[in-house]
Amino acid sequence: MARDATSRVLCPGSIPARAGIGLRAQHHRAILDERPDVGWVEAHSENYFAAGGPQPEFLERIRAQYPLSLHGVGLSLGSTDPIDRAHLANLRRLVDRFDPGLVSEHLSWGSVGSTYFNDLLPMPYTEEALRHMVARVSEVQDALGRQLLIENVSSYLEYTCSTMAEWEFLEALAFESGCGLLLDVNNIHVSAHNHRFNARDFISRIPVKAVKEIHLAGHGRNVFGGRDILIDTHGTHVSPEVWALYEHAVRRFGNVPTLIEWDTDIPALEVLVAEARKADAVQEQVHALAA
Amino acid sequence: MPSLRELQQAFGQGLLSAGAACIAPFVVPNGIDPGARVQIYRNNVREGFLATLRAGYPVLERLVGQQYFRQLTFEYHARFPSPSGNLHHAGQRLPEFLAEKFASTEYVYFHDVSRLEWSVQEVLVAAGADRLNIARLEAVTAGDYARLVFRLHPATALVSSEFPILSIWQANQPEADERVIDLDSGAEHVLLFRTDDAVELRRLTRQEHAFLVSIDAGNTLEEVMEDTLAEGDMFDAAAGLRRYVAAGAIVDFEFENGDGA
Repeated sequence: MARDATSRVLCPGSIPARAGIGLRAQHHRAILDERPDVGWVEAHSENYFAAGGPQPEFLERIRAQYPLSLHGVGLSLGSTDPIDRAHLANLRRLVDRFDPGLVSEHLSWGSVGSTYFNDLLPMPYTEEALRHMVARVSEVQDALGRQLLIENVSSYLEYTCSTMAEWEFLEALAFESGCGLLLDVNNIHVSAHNHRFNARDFISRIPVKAVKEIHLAGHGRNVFGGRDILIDTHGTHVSPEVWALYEHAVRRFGNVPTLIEWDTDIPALEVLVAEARKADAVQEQVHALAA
Repeated sequence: MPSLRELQQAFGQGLLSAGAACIAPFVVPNGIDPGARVQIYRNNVREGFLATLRAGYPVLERLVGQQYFRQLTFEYHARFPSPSGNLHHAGQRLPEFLAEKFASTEYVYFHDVSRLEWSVQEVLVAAGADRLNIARLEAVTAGDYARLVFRLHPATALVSSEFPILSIWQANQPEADERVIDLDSGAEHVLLFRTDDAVELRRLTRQEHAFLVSIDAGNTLEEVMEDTLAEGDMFDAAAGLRRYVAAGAIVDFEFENGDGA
């Protein structure tokens, strides 16, 4: 399995403005065997932190065929604990080795007092939190020597101390840190339902130039205290409401690299590819109407 | 207004304990009890942790059953929450937890089974190394054999137990035929090493195990043979070396005083 790192061949790195799919270990072989017609793939950074073995080896082979985006879920950017230097060093190593077109993380926190929850916990939208996030995003961008994209998360609660809207926070974060935005349209839909705001208003407030990537995924529905709450499961097809919101987003932001995410109850590769085709079709349709 | 730090500490407490009293005052109800909102996150955290442990400890889960595995995982999580943003490390202390929980019970072997399963996980992600060219070894002159120091591949592990852990592991693979393992059937020693994209487990005799453990400790071949012969009368070192070089478990050597070879 050992291979000379200098002899590897990567395909061009920039992410095309079309649909890609989330890369999951179950599909490694199928992607190499079938070479599906998708524009790019996105890997969860932490899944490839291994020093050796099959995971990074597969990623190297897949990267030779597709542009790659690295999407982190574990950096705990919004946490008030210091950034985990070893985690950041692993990310840096991955970025250096695989030359991804995009690198992203979340507007969230996931640890306190060195205890990790491995979840995307919501930030309060306060001046203090904004200052903190700007400093943390800048720290990571400096460490990686490149721009980071920050994704809005689904949330199930809001804090009484928030003094601004989520979109205001994202806009200020992008402006002050120079980061780009990864707009998760499913997350906007989920949070809009849960917190009773208008998803289209949210999208219309996001600065067009900041959006470098869009995520699409499926969600579930649960009842809590007599009210239904949408849960971001990444375990099913993109819902019709989210497709409609995506079309609205494409009208505003133009054709943006769009990712189909599916992390639980992972289906056969062709199901993901079919969802990606659908996203491509939405972009083509909006583009044709605008022309 | 709480500081960001205070808010995260209160939320963290609410995620690890059953109550959400500390965080509830800072959550907008908006038609739903703040405790129920925190509960959604608590479920997500616990289910994510459980999914990771299920992936890493499938044999243990089969041994104890899905329901008890779930309970064990939540107990373990309360005691040893995840130490990293990388979930790979979540199950690292499960063997230690099981050793304490089942000490002096008939389930004391769970500890050794979990050590074996953790080693599988570690071997899968360890660094790679080039194979040793056997011709290099064959070129060493007989006078230098005693001071040879071998190096194991980073992706190898040695696990030893007074219980038949490899037999238990094999009998609990998804494709295995159902059979009963006698817990008193004796000690088993296992070498784990990585093949292309999987981990292979190989049964070792007590002597082979002593041989590899001594190599792994950085001893010279002379010291390795002393340790090995302490476990039995005869041992064919040349055959042993050939076998483990061929398996890719021994990947390098040097001489005791640090000369490269």
